[in-house]
Amino acid sequence: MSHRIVRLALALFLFATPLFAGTVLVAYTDMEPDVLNRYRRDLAEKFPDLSIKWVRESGGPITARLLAEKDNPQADIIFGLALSGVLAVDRQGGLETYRPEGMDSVPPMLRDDRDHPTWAGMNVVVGALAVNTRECERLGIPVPESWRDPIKPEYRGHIVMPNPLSSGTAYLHVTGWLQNLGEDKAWEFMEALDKNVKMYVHSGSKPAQMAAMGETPIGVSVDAYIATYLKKRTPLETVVPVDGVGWDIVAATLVKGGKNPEAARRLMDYAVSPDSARIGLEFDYLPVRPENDGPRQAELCSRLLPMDLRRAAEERDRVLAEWRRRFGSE
Amino acid sequence: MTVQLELRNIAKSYGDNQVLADLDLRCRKGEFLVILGPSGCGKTTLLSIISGILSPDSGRVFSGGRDITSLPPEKRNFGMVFQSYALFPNLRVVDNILYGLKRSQWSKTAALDRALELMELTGISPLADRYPATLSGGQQQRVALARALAPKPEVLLLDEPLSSLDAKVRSSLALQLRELQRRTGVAAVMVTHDQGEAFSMADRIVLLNKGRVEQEGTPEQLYGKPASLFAADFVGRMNILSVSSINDGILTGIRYEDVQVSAPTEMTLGKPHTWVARIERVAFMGQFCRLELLLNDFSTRIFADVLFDKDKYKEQSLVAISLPRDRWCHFSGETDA
Amino acid sequence: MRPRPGGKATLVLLLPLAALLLGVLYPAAILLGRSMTDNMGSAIGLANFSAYFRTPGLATSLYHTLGVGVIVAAAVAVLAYALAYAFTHALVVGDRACRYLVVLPLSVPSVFFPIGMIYIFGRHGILSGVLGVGNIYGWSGIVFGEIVFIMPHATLLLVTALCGVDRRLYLAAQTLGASPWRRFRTITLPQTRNALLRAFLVAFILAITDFGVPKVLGGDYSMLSTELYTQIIGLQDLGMGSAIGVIMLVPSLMAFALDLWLVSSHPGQAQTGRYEKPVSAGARDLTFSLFAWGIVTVPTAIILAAVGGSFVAFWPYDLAPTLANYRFENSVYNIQPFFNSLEMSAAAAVAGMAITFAGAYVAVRTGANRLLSLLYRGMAFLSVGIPGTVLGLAFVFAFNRPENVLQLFYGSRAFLVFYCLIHFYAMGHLISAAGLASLDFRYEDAGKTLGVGRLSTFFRVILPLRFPVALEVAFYFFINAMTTVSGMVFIFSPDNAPASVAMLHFTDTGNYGEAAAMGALILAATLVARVAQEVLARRLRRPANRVNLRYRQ
Repeated sequence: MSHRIVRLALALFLFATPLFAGTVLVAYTDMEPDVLNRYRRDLAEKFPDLSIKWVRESGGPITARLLAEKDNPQADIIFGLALSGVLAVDRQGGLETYRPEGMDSVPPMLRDDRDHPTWAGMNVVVGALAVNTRECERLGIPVPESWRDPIKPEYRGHIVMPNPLSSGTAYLHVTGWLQNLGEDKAWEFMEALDKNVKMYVHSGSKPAQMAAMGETPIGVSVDAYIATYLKKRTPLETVVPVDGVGWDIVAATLVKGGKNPEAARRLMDYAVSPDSARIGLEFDYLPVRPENDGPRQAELCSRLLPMDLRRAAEERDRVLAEWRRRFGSE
Repeated sequence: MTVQLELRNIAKSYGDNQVLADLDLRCRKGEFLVILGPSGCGKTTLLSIISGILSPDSGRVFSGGRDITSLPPEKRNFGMVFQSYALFPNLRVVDNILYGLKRSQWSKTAALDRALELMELTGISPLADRYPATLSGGQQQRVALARALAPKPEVLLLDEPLSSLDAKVRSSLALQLRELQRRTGVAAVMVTHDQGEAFSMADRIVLLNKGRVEQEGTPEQLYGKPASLFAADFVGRMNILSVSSINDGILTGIRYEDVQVSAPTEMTLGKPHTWVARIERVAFMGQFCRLELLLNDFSTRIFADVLFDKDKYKEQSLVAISLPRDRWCHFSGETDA
Repeated sequence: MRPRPGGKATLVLLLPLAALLLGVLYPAAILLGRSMTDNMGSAIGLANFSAYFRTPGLATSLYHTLGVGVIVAAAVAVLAYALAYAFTHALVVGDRACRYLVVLPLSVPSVFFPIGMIYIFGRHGILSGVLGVGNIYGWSGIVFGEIVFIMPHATLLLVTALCGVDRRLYLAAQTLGASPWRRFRTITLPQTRNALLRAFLVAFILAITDFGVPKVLGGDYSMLSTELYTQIIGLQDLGMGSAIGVIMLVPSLMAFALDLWLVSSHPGQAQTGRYEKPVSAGARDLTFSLFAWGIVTVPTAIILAAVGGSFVAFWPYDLAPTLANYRFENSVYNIQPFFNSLEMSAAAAVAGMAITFAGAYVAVRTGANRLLSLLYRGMAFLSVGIPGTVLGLAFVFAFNRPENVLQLFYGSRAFLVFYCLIHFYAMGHLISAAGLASLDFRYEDAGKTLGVGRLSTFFRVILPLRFPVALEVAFYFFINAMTTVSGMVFIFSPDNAPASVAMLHFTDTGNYGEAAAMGALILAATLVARVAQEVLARRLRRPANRVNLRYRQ
């Protein structure tokens, strides 16, 4: 009796183990679900022989997962993850070097320019404000155009911003200000903005979502998150401040110790291909490859502040400590 | 003596089930009244109505001539003792007794004196600082009694106060209880299903059956002259006979101990109301023995309780039994069911 | 009455004991170790802790959490006490329905409440026009949400305690002229004081460890649980994350120890009374009915609002009715997490029932090795002292290590089942043990005198008599596995993302409609399970199942 139970239990445990999951390519991503679904359709068409298991979570959890699994990698490829996360994994040596085809046509600022690159950019995430026009109208505040606007007194309590301690989105904004205004001016600006911020939230998508639901008139976010809501019937608008914004790269990279390196490399090549860029364009993204840019992409490009993302990653601990010192004690 | 407690036309039903029907009851000052009846006769409901825990569907309750029907229990000033003692487990013995002594009516010292007095009376003075959980059943019931008597209640209500105690404690506490009631002069109403208890304590007994008063009277009256078959059967042991050879077939009762058994001589058999019978069985009962007798009509069985005598009563021997006429009980309006 | 020793039975205890040691002590030890290392894994002593207390933003999360914990626990204890009092000491109109609504919040993950709260109290909330726009983000939102979430836990505990107050004491006090308030003060309160304290502690532990409510409504009000999440998931600072886990463990363990002391040093104050319904009293019953229904309206309305929100295209701007949210298009997992959860919870229910029931049987009813069964009981209790968030984190560190053979098992569905088993072990054990201890201890002896072995008596007498108890345990595991969020966020793997975590992801990506839809599915599943349990239990209930209290140890 008891022997049978023990055997049954053992069998259950073993069969439930991913060890027997077969040779499936495992891809981690933090892309928006609708974009990812578009990619999946395209991939099913172009690579009918590849079976891919997708793991989609926000950037933070994906990064945490990659770090936690460093000694026992579960993923083969990172297909779209904010560069800040990618670099964190890279620093701990969790990435495989690989130079995908056609990578040289990408502008140097938007790719890994080392001799043995670990990552390749897919598109650029552009910092932006999610503005609920109906809420603005109701509250009698104008739609902001530049960063000079949201620090004006009439915006007091009307801005929701992600917390850079937990959100890459917030950190890209902070980096943009720090690397362009200069440290002192940048902190001064953030102090002024802080006075108008109703609250700091945990993730970068949350301000966009709150603006979309009318819980706040203005949310500090990025274009990709805001785009998700533009399809819904909500009075939401993407505002890219004219005086320039921070940005981040959505990158693809191979995971060191992945179990299907061959297939993973094919997917890497696809990630940086013009086909992939075209899908980005469908969602009004800004692809790293300039070949197909329309007027919107050109305008977005002109508003990107010059930034050194590697430096930003290196300075992260120091910057966040300073941020916590100034704003984190609430 | 004046009436302390009076119930008039009390009725109570739970749904379709009528528990009390048009019931009258009276308890005089200083009287010890026992409500006796089998389980389910409505005696607990009756006590609940007296105490105010339940309100009757109709009828009135008076105490000292005052209509208290609509008063809640806490306004009635009746003391109550429960079968389960219901002592407050978080209070010491003395605090339990002090519980009912209201600040507004008792000064601190007066209350304490009263509590000490009652502990003295009930013999629990050494237990004053103990908690109920550390006391024996008999001790707990004394505390409950002292607690109930402390506020000088108009009526003391006792709900099967002795039935969770063992036999020895029960009889001694019964005596003490009666003595205490006499001394304090409080009118007491006790509910019980135990006729021995009722007989040993009551001034008067109200026999309750199916929500009605079956009979009311002193213990002697109830025992000697049961008014109904139910009363006869519930109080003591009684042969119920309807045989043509006895009392012309009219339903007649006679108690076991009133059946006289003697040797079947011509002299004994010549007496009136005497028949020949055969001893079927002799059951030893301690101080007496119970004979099961078969009458010479070979169908009527009669029981007799007689002093034990090994030689005199032998199974299968013939005897003369006489049923003295002055011991016969008649039940008007009833037939042998 | 002490059962006689049974040597072989002791062996049965070894498996659950090993599971508990592996699932509680081992991960806790690893976590403790991890909290004293830096991010790269080298030992740095207590540096993480001193950094925690020196960093202004971090240390506040502890004070915030303790503050919220005390306020929520106090509010919950008082409200739940009043509610339990209404159910036990008054006749509430529609008592049955009201009681069902009280426990309804147990059927959904804690993240469900913030969603409903936004629909009702948010800037565009249904009631915001009436109540005005309050700020539901931050302190007030967390406190309110936690009270709603925790109320049923405390209420259940207090209803049991208040049922145990001997009714006859009230009668005695009444005949002694005590007013209702004095009766409450001198009888009800003293007899239920420990339960009230326990309710406070239970609420406190839940409030300081819950993750769902602060995650959605916290805003910038930092709490230990969200700070832990931020450190691990946002900043990838595993050392600091572990330190926060340890810091969170301290007040929980303290509250847990206090609770244990309360239970063991003051065993059930006079839980002798058989519960009787109070007699009706117009004004009192009306007051308490209004109160009880007023209280249950709040969680019910929140849950209904969230369920309603799942059928709306985009709240508040596009209220067109739709089923689109139930297609879960904004997740790569679609509806799969729901089925994952069903499967996982069913497995947890069966395994949890079997293991805790067998373990409790051996520990309570056989003379298994004293030391071993004491250790077993201790471990079973201890599992409840570790908050889910901390346990989840500890599991990651303990089982995702190359040197650990169990790493194979990491991330599998069985792993999640194992987590649920450990996390909910204590209650499963307590329910089983209480049910088994209330059966006449002489059944086994009777069996032996008839020449029947213990195993046979177990299967032919004990199990059939206590099958409703086993069912209750199974249901307990099922409902909790369906709704738990806190630890799951750390240990799930993409293959088996549970529904509660999917809900959290939907709120992360702003798809509240889909989050609400997933919550509604969880609600439906747990309600179906509840009905199934009751129907089964009723069919199996026999007269012999009446609890025999005389042989309680």
